Amino acid sequence: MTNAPSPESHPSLDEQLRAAEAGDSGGARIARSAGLAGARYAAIMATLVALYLLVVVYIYPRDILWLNIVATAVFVAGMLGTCVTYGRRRSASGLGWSRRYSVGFALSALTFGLGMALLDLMDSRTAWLWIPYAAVTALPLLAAGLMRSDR
Amino acid sequence: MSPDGAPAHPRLQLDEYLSLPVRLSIVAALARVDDAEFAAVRDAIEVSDPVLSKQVGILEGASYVSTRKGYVGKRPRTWLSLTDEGRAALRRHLTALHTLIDGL
Repeated sequence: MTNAPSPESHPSLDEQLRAAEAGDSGGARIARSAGLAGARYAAIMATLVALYLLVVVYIYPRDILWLNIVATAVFVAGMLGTCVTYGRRRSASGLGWSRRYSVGFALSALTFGLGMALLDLMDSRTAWLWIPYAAVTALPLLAAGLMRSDR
Repeated sequence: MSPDGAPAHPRLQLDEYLSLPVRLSIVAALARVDDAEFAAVRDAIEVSDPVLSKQVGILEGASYVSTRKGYVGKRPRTWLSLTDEGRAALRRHLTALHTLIDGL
């Protein structure tokens, strides 16, 4: 490949600059739509994880088998449904999305796990502790959805 | 560098593959995302399927763009992404363009 385009075979500088501008606005549109889809997906996952934490804290200890099964099934179906819908509908992924989402999900899962350990240790179910803790569990996923990266 | 040691004219730094407006548009659009569906790129840069397909083929040949084919349900889909080489080429090309118009 040569780096010297001949003036006869290539469009003018003006045309190239116009193309660069048009390409940039097209890219911005794709990136915006990818960012919105990712943020929506991450927010739904964050809500599901936070709600499931509250289910584990407040519903499971009642030892009602059918209720536990339904709660778990709803959570799993919600996660799977969200994943499948996102996969079907997404038309682009923002820069660094996969890595950002993986880190966010891992941190939320870790916070969830710590919450379970805390629940075992304290055996306390006060709302002032667990509702904020559920919000903290959702935070890494929410942050992953809202962050943007430039490369 | 020219024979007398002065920096080469910025025109010589322009990338042959990116000198065509459609190709430059494709690469510039893909530079903002990790990957994008064929149809999303087509709509964003306002070209037809055959034009995009042909130009993507050329960019793929230059290793600037990579494609991945898959299915969503029964519908085939093609995903496009910019390679590191393509990203570097775009950066070089834009720098050369900026240098050319510097001071206008």
